Amino acid sequence: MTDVANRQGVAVGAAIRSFFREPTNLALLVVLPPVVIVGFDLALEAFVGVPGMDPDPAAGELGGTLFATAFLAGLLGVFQVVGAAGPDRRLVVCGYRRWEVLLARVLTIVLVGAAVALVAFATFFVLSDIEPASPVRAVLALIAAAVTYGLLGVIVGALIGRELEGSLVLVFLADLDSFLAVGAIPVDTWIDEYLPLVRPYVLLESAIHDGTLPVGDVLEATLYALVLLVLALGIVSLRGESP
Amino acid sequence: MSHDRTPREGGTDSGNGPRATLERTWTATVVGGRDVLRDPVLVGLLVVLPAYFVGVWGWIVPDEEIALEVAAGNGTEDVIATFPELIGAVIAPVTGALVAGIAALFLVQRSRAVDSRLLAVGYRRLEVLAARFGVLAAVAAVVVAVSTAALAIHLVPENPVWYVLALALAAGTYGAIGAAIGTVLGRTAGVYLLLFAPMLDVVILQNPLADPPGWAGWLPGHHATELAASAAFATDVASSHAGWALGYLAAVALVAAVAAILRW
Repeated sequence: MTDVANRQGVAVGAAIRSFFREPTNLALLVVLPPVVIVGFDLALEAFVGVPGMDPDPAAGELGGTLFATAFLAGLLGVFQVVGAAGPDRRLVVCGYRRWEVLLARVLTIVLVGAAVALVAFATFFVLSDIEPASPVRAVLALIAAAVTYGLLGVIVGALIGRELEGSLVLVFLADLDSFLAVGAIPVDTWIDEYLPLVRPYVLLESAIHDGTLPVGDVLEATLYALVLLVLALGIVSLRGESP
Repeated sequence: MSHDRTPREGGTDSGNGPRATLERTWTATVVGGRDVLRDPVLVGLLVVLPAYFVGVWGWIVPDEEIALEVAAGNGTEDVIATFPELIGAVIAPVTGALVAGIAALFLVQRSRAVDSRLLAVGYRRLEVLAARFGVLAAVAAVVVAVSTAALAIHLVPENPVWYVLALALAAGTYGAIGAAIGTVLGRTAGVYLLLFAPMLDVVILQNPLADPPGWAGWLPGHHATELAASAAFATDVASSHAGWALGYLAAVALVAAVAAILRW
């Protein structure tokens, strides 16, 4: 058990160092969440008062914060799986089991996703007039979004195996999700109940406005992430290569 | 890094006249195009994603009528449209913008090594640039064709030719932006930007239902989306937006070209 933990520590540490070693990644982490949050807020303000399309006044800032966190984690998921194939093969040669390599990738995504969630929440806190009822729960909701999209990114990356194509698939999924989850555009379908960001958005709203995390939504978000984790494990295993 | 104009032995630079330039540009374009065609997943996605995106948006929004004010040749025109028609008319340009922008980002980054070799064997910078833009234009043309076909499920534009031009301008503008971003940013930051920018610009701020701030008129998608909405719903198209959108496209293409040349 200690051996596994040590190996995880080494693999995750190396992956995180390699992420933060890139100056553009650091800039991305610091600059883009504020840009997205402000952009979402300004964009949704344009719809205030439009009949049938009147979004919640807080939807722009909340949706921007949630989406800035989630999509970055999703991209990390794609690029971690596709771009790290070579290093992962070397880890397997060095004695890592395949599931250990995947676990290290997922842990990397969760940890970087948590860092993104903290930056995004700090940005929201500074920019928004809304006083968060429970900052800790809000960050947890953002981490739930990051984990969900990170795992989706792993699945897309493992299925498609190419960066351009994986990015395109993730972008088209995320675009639909971002506007439907926050209720920016009215829809007449059951699809919006099952989109990845729906539960994390409900959790974020509750944490910010009421300081609570409704148990039912926490369970649903957890179940959603578990299903994605099982799918990711299954697809990576079936692919038979490095995760 | 400087590149002299003297062709090396075995190079492709067989002359300096316009014909030789065209031949070299065509060769580089064809090779770049083959590189895209050799990737069946990418070709499949260029067809499937626009069809899915335009189709699904038109399907999930409520089938209700709404009153719109769209740009027209003589000012504005009040029209009645259904929500699927409106969302389809706005989603088709953003689909082209998303695909062309992200494809441009990756194609520019992928082709760096090849571009350097082409320059080393005597290609002129403009020839390499023209070849890259040629491949991007072909990608944009496929996406525009598929988006227009998928849109026909929900809406037949009042002025189809102008509408197709609007889609091409939106895709071309964001394609050039993607190419410029690809020369200065990494893939993560680039994809991140090229996801949010077209959606916020075209779908939200340029939406005919929205009441956007004044600065939204300076955004890359403004004129192309105005032209698309006008071509889709107005009887008299606001063709002046085509000129402005072409000017915008030329400006961002120039920026992309300068960025690529400075990078080389």
